[in-house]
Amino acid sequence: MTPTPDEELVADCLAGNNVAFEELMARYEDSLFRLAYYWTGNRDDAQDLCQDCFIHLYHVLPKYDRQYRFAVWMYKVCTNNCINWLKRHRRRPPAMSLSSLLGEEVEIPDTLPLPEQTLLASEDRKAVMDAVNALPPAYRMPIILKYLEDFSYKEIAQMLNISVKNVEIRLHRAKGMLQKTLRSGIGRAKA
Amino acid sequence: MEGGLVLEVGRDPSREGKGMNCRDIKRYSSAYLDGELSPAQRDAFFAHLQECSGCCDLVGEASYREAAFAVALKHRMAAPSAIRYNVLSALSREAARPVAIPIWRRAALRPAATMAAVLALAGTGWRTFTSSYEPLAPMAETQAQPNRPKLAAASKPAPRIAMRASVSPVRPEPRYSQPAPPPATVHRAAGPAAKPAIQPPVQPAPSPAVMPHEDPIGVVTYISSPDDVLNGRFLARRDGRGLWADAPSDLRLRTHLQSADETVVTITLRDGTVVKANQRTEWVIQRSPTKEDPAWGIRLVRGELWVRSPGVVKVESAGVVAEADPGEFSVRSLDGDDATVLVASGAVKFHNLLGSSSVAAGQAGVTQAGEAPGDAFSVDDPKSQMDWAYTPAPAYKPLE
Repeated sequence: MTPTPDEELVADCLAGNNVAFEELMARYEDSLFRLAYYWTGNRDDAQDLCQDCFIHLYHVLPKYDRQYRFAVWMYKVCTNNCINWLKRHRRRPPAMSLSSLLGEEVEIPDTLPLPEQTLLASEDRKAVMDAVNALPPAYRMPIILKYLEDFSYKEIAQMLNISVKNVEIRLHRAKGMLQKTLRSGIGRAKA
Repeated sequence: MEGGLVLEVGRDPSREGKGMNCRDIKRYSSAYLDGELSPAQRDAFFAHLQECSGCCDLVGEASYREAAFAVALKHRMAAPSAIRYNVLSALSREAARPVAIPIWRRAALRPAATMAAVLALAGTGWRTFTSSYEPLAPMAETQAQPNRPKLAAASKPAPRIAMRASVSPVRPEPRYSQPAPPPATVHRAAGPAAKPAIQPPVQPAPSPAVMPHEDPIGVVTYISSPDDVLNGRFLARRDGRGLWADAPSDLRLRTHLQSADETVVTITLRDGTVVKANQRTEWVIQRSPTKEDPAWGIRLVRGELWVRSPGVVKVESAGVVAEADPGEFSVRSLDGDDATVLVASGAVKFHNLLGSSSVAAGQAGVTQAGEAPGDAFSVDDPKSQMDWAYTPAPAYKPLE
């Protein structure tokens, strides 16, 4: 059975059928959560941000612009939310480390990995994720949208309100930065 | 090289009728690997690669690197089920909340507002949002695991001896001989509608687990653990911060709690509900009772929780909700894929969107993610199955 197109679900939702909104959430929650996770760098913030995105999305759904594919429009709304989130949290103190709280090194038992540890199974994956998190926001978002969601340059340009050429340049530079960061990380590890 | 790149912007070698040079290849390799070159650009790109082995190596290396990036970033990451629940709950609360009207307009608008509210309630499809704590359809899980074996109805009731084996306590050992901590003293105000008074058994001292600007929902009253394991502390994480919590300490909503090996954590919520977490348990108290939904909402990620509640408590795990009103029961989900509820007193409704079953005292119920809860079956001496929650254990001694 062919799944109902997103646009049809949006129309159903606007007609008062909230089950349609649940269906949209079910379709996109994993990818939005992933976007939020790479944007915020931790699961708790990602959950908050993802929830904010969905609630905001529900409120702005009547403004859905049909010239865009729904996924593109939705990411446009959510990337704006992500950028606003970053502005709000820019001044927040950095995450506290457990060892600094206790003044000693502490370890969580191996038998119970933290969710982040479960998700990041390999060191390479973690290194890449750290490198993505270290990118300036203007370069981070295009990388996330390209690598995670496979959006085209044109779609990324629509989401971020920038030109296609600008997307190309940002991605080119971001890839260079990632390569540089990872190379220096490997260099440090070898040293 | 960013300077070089800026100088190159605007120049399109394919349109100029010239081939690409090494610098162009460097510039266009990213767009090429992303499949964003036009046919003419691609032709010029390939034409240069055929002549230049250095650029071939460069593009090959970049291709390998980008594939590695993509694989590293694209790993499967499932959104916590709490997201859908929280969003739908929030929208439900918004729908139920009256619209704020300036005071000078209230008198004039009263008849219109009343009519609008009646029409809104009657006409809109808030079927889903108004049942705000209903478990969410485990759609992703169902799709992801189409071959998951279903719990056949014929297989229940399960043999009693099997119950013991399959639901063996997470932390049966070590046994402790020291006396149990004093039970939590809870005073409730008289009258059914009265707000329960918060009377924690121990005056909570400020601790790192205290988060500002929010009321505490309860107190960590007791942590039992051998001294040599994590010093008896347990981990509380919230807003991206990880903190060690001691007893006593205040608890806030949506703090991610995690007990260590051989550590049992006891929490007394503000209405007297007692929650004990077995060792290696991760859980989050997501909701406190409100006028609209007078239930505690607890999300069990993995492990085992024991609950004794004078009111309504809903424990969600593996796409199913165990709801007691009131009752004494445990919910166990060792890997987050299945959930077992065991009832010592009262009755527990075990339900999700696919079905429900009622589990009475002395019974147990089992379900797997993406499936309807199975029928309840009898269990001999349910308290012995939850002995970790009833066995006295020594209190944690704080570090000096």
